[in-house]
Amino acid sequence: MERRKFIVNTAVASAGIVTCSSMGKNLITFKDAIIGHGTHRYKIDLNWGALNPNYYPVNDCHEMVQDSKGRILLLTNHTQNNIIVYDRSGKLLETWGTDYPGAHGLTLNVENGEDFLYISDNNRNEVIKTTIDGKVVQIFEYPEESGKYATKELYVPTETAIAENGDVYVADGYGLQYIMHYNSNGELLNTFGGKGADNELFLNAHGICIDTRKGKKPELLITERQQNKLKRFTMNGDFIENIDLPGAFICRPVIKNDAVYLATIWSGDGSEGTGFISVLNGDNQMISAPGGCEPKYVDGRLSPMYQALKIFTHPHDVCVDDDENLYVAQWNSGKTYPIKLNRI
Amino acid sequence: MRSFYAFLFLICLCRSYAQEADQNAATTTFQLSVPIIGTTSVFFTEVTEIKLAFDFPDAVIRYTLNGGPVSDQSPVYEGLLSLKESTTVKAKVFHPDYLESEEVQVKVLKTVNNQSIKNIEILPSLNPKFSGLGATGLMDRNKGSRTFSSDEQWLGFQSDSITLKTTFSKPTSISKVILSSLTNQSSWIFSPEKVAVFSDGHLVGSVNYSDAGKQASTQFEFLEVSVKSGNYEHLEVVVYPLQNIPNWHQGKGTKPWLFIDELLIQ
Repeated sequence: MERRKFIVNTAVASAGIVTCSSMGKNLITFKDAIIGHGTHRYKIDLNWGALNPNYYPVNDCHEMVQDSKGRILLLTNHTQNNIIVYDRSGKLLETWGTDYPGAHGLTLNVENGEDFLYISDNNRNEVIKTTIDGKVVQIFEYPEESGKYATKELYVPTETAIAENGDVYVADGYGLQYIMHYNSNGELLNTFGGKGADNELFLNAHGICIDTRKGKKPELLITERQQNKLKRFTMNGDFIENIDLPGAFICRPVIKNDAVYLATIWSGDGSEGTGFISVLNGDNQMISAPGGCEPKYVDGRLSPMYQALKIFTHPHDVCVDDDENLYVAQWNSGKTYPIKLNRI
Repeated sequence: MRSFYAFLFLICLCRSYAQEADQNAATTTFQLSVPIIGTTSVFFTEVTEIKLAFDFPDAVIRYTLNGGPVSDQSPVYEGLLSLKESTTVKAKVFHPDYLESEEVQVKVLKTVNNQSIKNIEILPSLNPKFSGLGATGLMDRNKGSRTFSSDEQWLGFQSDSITLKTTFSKPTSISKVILSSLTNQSSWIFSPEKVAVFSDGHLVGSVNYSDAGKQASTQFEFLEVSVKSGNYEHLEVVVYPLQNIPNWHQGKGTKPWLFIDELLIQ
């Protein structure tokens, strides 16, 4: 007998004895919530990673990554512990970081077998590279040399992506909407994008990642949250294509195997508290929306997406572990810890 | 003694069950989101259509047209609703496993065809942040959307009172003035405390809204003021926003915003 079924049956039996069976009926009808569609469906663990906020407080939980040891790292803008490290079961392992008041973007890159983190800080207006235990090794200051920024404050980086050759791309999603392209020494090679509604421009370049799925030549996937689009660019900054996701105010793209996962902070008309998770397949078509309505394509276009269940408030990032379970970090959600979605 | 141990064992079983169950949240933990509600036109002269949508297996949308609350006994939505009179449509989603949604509503307003507003002068002058289409936007019978900050239909004010000096193209028989407004308290937009209508300096109608400072969800409102029936060539509509944002709100003590998108007469 499956463990879960056994437990349910036992509980029904024991509850029946205690309460003369009136409660037994209620227990049988108790169902696990299952969200998502098609191949990507999940059960919800609301308690994963919950900690005592007096000792390990969070403000916004902005982003999460899994490191080479399989640990899950959470980035929050609470300066008592900017990084909270969990094991996969949600047990606290360690915390560090007190210098990142605007901690927003967290990218992990393995360089010569060693894990490094790139933290995009909205308040410090720069990107900080650290070792996995928090030693600062490099700072990408505001790109004065680009000639685009009169002051440091105009530069508000939200996300980074690191190429195979060590080149670093930074998206200025809350600033002037440029994408900076550095080499690994921090020398600025190229600047592209900028503010605007045209194909090659951005209104909110909130996230960026490098796409090498299906063995293709690396290219960039860049979020244009305000217009509900994901944009494909070459590594040199040339626009390739828009991927329209109407109604989905997406955060950064996260690639695992053939799929792209995107925390979707708002949906529909952009009202508060309307978030869900978007999952795209290898052809960049939305195939599952945990917490959202079923994605449907009519004449090749995705019908406008909206929230179906109030599970997430403002999901801001998704971390996908090796078993393709999801960990969802949320912005402005009442200082809650991440929600885990167990793939079924 | 044996029965005591058996009882302890049962309690342990129950506890372990409870802990296991906690790992996966139950359907009854979650509330359904609101249905999507759309209309061909909020302001209409003959007929308007309402479309409700919620794409979720086993969910049903129920609705009312009489302004009353939606219950699990209300009619199930099965297709477009055709309306020929001013109506408040309320709707909710129900599901066998999940908690029912909040209620959403849309109000549609039948208006007379020959709307004869010639000109509206707005005092004080428009706030440059939310000046929208100006007075034209109040007369074009296009409804603003919920995304008020990027929608030119909306005019936003942050002042003690707003006066709309309205001139009609000819003396017009008027019994009611309707101001279309937005409430979005999380964006510090509140409905007003009072709307008064004057003709040549004489009060011809007014309504007080005592609930303006109470917590309310984001919604569109029609502020209807009955006026002394008569033929008017000029009317002054004066809107008095809430003096201060109330204490329960994070913006307490500061001046709230007032948003309007249309002025209508009947």
